[in-house]
Amino acid sequence: MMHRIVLGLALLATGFAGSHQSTAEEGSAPGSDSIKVTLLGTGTPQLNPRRMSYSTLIEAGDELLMFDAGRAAMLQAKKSGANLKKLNKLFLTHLHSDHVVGIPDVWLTGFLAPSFRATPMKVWGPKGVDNLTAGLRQAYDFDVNIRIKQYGGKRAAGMEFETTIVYDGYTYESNGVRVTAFEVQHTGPDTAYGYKIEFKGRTVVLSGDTVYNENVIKHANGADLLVHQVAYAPKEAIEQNKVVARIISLHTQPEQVAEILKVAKPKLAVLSHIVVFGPKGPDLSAEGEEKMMEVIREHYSGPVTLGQDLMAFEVGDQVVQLN
Amino acid sequence: MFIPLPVTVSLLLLLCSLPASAQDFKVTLLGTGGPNPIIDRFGPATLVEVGGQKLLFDAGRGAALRLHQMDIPLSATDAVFLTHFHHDHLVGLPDIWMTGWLPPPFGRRSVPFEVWGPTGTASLLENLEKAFALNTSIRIPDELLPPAGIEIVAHEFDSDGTVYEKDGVKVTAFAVDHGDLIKPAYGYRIDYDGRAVVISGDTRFDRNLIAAAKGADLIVHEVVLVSDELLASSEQFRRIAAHHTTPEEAGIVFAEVAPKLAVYSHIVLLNSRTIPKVPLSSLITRTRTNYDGPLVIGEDLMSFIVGDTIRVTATGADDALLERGTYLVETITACANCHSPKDPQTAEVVEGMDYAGSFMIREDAFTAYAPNITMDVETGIGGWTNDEIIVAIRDGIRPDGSLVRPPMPSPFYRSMSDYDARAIVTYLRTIKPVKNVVRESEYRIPLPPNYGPKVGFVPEVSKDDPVAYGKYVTHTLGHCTGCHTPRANGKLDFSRTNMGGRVFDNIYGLGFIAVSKNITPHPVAGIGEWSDEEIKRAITQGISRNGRKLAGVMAFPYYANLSAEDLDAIVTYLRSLPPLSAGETQ
Repeated sequence: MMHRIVLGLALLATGFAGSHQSTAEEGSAPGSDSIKVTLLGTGTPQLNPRRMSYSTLIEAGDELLMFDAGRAAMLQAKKSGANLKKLNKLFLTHLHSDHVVGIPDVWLTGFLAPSFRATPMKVWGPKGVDNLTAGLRQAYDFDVNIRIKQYGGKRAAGMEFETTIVYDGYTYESNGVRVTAFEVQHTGPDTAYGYKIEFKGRTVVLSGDTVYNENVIKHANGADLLVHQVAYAPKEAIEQNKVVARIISLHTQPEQVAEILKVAKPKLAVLSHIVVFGPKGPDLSAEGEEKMMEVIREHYSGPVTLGQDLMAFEVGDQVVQLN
Repeated sequence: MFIPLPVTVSLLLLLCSLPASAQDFKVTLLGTGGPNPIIDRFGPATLVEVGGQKLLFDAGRGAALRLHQMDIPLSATDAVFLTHFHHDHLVGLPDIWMTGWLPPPFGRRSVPFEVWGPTGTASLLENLEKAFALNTSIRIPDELLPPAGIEIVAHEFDSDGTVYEKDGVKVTAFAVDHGDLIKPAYGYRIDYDGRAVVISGDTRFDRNLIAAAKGADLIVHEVVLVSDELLASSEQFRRIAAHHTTPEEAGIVFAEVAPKLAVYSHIVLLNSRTIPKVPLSSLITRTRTNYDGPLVIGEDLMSFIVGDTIRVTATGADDALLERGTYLVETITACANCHSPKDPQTAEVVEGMDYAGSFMIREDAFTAYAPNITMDVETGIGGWTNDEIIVAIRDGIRPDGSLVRPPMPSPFYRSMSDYDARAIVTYLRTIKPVKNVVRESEYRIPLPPNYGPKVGFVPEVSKDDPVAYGKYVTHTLGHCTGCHTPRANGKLDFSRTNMGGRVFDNIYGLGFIAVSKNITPHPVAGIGEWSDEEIKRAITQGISRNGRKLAGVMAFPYYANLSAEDLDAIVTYLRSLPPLSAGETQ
């Protein structure tokens, strides 16, 4: 028989699917005492093969942490050469589609060969993240069940989520790495967070999607690396186009990025989640991005780099761009 | 039991007249891979454009990006069909659904997203809506997006039969066998105006598929390629392989269905750390044990125009690449100068035989017959993958391992940039297939086993260095050196590079006799005294310095369309060469 079903928009009224526990295993990291940061995606919802949507990978000691999982995050993680087998920790800044559409791929492909993740996918994020993971688990229930029947046993745990809702000041600690969530301002209260990652005295801060925000300055003060988002449109476009004005108003403009950098003085600032408009709409060209960079450089003379997909940094005694 | 159609759709059918043209039945492989995250083969997804409708079958990783590469808005898909619930066929769905609703031109969906699939489809979609509910509830008031555009309509079915019918386009689902645990699993057949396309879905060898596919013009079939060694090594690999169709089994399917063209997509390539992948070309040879009809190994963004014949095209949406390829092939590489046969009476290309080969090129060293490089899959290169064509051009090695022989200038093409090589392949994919078997060439010189180590990545040459760029245009792309350098013992004598003096006595059987010119800047023997304009006139119009008409061995009509920039580059390069004349060899 055929069903024709119009699905509603109701929110799932589930409880917290995960736990708030944080493990404080202060293990010394083997080898390097630096943090490696890889920009997996530096874009937005825009369909731009040059800039996949937002995702950042952090490697510090034994910890491998993914921040947001936008379009093609799994593909980019594979290309970055990261150890996918270890990829089971995902922090979400907020739940806009471009930051989360890559989750099903990361979660489900990570379970398969050659990654074989046999541990649950741990996800941290703002209120609503529990519904996100519960919904995905249910949506892909059919596949999950087949895979469990096929591979089963100890590996079955790899098909599950462990979800944690973060709040301003929430910390995760493991293997000498500390991640602190701090609230930023995007579309409303409690909906968007930035993250500070600390390891052996090094600090990396991810702004997440936010308007100019004092909380970013506070946490990024003296950081080694600040990954900040930016949105730029020429004045006329903002004045003439309501949608452009609205999008710009939800993000940090180049002059404001410069202000933040002037006060926070990170050793290096990198721009990711890059929104650029021209007079006629989105401008995905390198020229448009360069215009945006000029505005920042006009107001800030310190080190600042335009992020590119798969650009990587080693944050040690110095902050070095690896490619 | 199966109830075929909602009443509204049936009524619509009565009201609409059938479109007359079958020309717009186009199938594009958006993703030809499986779950493994690899950049050149995205997750399974196939787009069928027919009767003014865009039907998407599965939505694996990256499907949204591939649609974008084709300049197709995400909101333009009329219907999505799911074959089964393995995640590699589904992970691209949220992106198409949600991004297709956003305000930019690629989005703007204002009507519900409609998805057809077996039982379980509704649950999948309902839960995706729950998972991404916050995105929906934030964006509606914030971006003033129409709530209808993010709604989902699920159409479920639980048995074989017609599942979709609109304006003469009929989609029929048929159960396939993807393994005992993986049920439901379906394939689809799309019928329109007397033509039919079949998409296998994921399946083992299955008689139900053969029955459903009978009479189809095009069949897009999955396949698993794995070495016996790997199968013997682990239960895991045996289990994966057992869910799919081997090339030999697919050969039986194709032989019984007898389509106009069979295409492999969802190519499952298995390897382990110690046991490598089987070369892709063995897909063809292994299929050939049971099937000798037209066969193509699919690649992402390959399209098939289903008409009286089936045309294969490459990345049609990458206009820049096609434009570059068109320029190269129709000017400086002048492939048609040898690959298109000319009428001996008129010296014009034989009508309808563009790039179809058989043109004779005769020198002391050989009597060669140019191969058919049209997209005909049997007698041309339509069955080769993009990479195989590039290797043939640059490395001079065919997919079967045999050498591409002179006068094909592979030794010069070795330094062709990856971008230009891809551009040329993109153009070649647009060439109309012509069936033409070419006779075997004869060689009176020894041939090398190969032209050197494997070419690998070649970057583009910057125009900032005029001599280097000029060399690239002249020596690499134009392969001018190939004729303007004398031979010694059957080989080009590079101590006398570009010194000319080779005699081409009726080389094409068209009566032309020509002696290649010394094109070094030697003031007497070469072109040292020629003005820039005289050099350019010789190249583009075939008129010598003294006004004499040059014999048509060179590809003057093609060079006539060279860009001013490239002509300048050629002149700059030629002037930079050491001036040589007989008796003053290097």
